[in-house]
Amino acid sequence: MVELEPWEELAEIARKYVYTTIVNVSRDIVDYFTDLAKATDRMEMGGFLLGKHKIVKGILVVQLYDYIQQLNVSPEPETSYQFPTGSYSEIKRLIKEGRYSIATWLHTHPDDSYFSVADICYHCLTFRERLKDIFSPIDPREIPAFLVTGGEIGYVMTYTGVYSYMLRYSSGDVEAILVFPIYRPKSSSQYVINLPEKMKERFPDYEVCHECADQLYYTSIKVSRLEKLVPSPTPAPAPVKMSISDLINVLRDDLGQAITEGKFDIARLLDKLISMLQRREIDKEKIHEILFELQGLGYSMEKVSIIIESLRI
Amino acid sequence: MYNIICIDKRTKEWRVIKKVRTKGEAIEWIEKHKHEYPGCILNFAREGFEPIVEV
Repeated sequence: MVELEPWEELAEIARKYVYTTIVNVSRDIVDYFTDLAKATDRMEMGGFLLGKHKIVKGILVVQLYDYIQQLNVSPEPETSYQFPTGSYSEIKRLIKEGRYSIATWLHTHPDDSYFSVADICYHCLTFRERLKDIFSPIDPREIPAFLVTGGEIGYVMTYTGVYSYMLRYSSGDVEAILVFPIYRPKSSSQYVINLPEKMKERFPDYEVCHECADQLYYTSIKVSRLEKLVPSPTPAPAPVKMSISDLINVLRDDLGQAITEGKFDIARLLDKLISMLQRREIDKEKIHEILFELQGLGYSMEKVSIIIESLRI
Repeated sequence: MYNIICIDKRTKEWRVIKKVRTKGEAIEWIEKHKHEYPGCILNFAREGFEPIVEV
């Protein structure tokens, strides 16, 4: 069961920043974005972000906390993303079943490039058309689309037209919450300034797309900044620096002089090495050195190779 | 094709400084040559796509 954040608190944040819509992205999704940016290689990828929504005292509060990956069936997946047939039916079914109440779409770029006019037009026209009945009375454009980029820097961008919104990336940890009041003035990018003109050239007949390009709202955050919201696991203790002879002595002591007495027990040695590895008391290179050192104790190269193979190192 | 671009750290204007075939080549080229462009943020974008210039 997903634990949602208190609806009233989110509405209060939106009210404080004078927004009528707030989109909250869960910690799991933030975590996923950072992985996705690194994983995007040559092809564009995509899917749906899902969650629940409520109207709280006139504020639309959206909480996105799940993601469903979809195939890219575009004939040119290196430069565009296309959902497979039936993917919207699946989303509608999940919403009808009450598992979610709201959705938006996400796609990736393998480089650090902006959302294209086609991306904006898709969100404002196709995405809106496909889900407008099930979202009614909410216009699907009230929920921004997401773009994760996988270039040298890596960004998570969101965009929509006509409806302004506030986006909040949550770490799930109160101390680390980043409130990202996102509306960037159009003057922040020449590309965005030129979008209405580009849209009219590319899609001359789609007025709804012109409207979105004219009144575009978007956000941008570096993946590195998001990574700070997702605490990394407790760091393992630093490896203890020991010389090879010290390590051999440790092994020798622990094995109760088994090595020197010729009663060498491979299983015990392996257990010992693995546990030392797990405790990060030694690294794999050191183990290699130890095992080769064992040759000096009369252990054959062949047997050493078997140990190495057993350890898969 | 990928364009390797220099984003001027001061003006935020960008220009193409190299063209390569793949993302892997782009990453490798930037790693090797970044010291030659101290005034630039080096990045890459597919041909026909607009590089993100956000501060």
